[in-house]
Amino acid sequence: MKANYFQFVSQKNFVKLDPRTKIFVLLIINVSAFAISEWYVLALAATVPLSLLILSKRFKITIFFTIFYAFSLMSYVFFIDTKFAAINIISAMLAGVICRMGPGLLMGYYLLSSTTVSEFVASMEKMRLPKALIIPLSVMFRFFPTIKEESSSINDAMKMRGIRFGKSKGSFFAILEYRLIPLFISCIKIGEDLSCSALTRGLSSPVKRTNVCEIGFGVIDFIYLLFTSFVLILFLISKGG
Amino acid sequence: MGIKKLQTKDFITVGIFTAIYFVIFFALGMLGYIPILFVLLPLLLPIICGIPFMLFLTKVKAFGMVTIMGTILGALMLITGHTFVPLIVGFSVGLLSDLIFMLGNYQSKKLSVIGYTVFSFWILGMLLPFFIMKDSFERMMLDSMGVEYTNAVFNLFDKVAWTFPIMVIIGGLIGAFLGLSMLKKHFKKAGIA
Repeated sequence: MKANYFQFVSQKNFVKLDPRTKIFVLLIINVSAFAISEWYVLALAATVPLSLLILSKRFKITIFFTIFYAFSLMSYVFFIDTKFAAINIISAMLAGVICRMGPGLLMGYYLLSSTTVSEFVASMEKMRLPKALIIPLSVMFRFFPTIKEESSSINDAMKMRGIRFGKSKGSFFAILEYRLIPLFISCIKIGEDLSCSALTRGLSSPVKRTNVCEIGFGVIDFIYLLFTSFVLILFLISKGG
Repeated sequence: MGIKKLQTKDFITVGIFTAIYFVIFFALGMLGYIPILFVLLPLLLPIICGIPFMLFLTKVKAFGMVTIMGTILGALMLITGHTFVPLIVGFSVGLLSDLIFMLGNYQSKKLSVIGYTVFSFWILGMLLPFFIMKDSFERMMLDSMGVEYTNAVFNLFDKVAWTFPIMVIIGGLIGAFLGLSMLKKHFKKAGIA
């Protein structure tokens, strides 16, 4: 799948949610999924990004993830109490990684793929965050996919030169160096271009910026806010009781 | 040494380097799911993250950039499901190391090594809840990770907890020198640092 994160052009396929809602939902999902005990809270937390992706007509990834997640959740529920040490550790690791990170990662994917940079900045400005936080944050989110792209290209280049783990000579650190240093250099070059283009667009002007993006809470926002609050309450109850 | 005001360009630089730092940090942090490597993380993380951070320091010319970076890293940890403790620790450690860098006018190599070691302590911010709320953590892990894993972690944890700050210091120093040598070896030649 081609990476379509944090685009400049708004995507029509996605249901419009306010970026603030998305961030809140992401936070709640991660808080309740990372420290989770009860399987039903996990399942509920997973339904949030899944339903959002269905609404956005991303069927392939939804089906794939649902099957995958159901499988790992089942292994989590059934094997966690087994007395065999080996099975227990393996299932705990599998469940730990997939069940805890899965919903959050998926929600993060949704957040990045459905939000444009200007929408993000606009909603941050509505939250009255200082510029010192808005600009680094938006640049950072814009940069994650770039890093991934660059690193996979560098990986390909290094493979062609026969530099890879296990197969080539040279120490572990030498190979790491061949991967990381070019990555940093190209990232910094891209970053310089990015800051040039941002400055030409007047990001540094002291005037209050205006924005054409329509940011605001709608019915769907309230549904999701209510639902995630419900998940959070359920999570707190399952912790307390 | 006057305090310069931060420009928009500086904010963008902070964003870029925070992204690089966080990606490497997160990729390495995944190793923490393997029980034995979990306790080595405070040593490993500062070593590898030293390279981007030292490169970041060559771009830092004014007070506040390191503080912002620490705060954002803490906020990211909050979003990805840790407690609010890393946010506070990230901010205060960032501020502290920012002050140290400012003493050397953001040029001194010696102070940058010390400052980076101080900055690396924000990693312990994620482990701090373990100390403060140990009982509830133990119960939580018992529920979510299974008996074997919990016992493996906590047995190890009791034995090695006191070494974490030492590991951060050693890792921070190694990482800082590694970063400086990488600067010399690659980035100066490429005209970036």
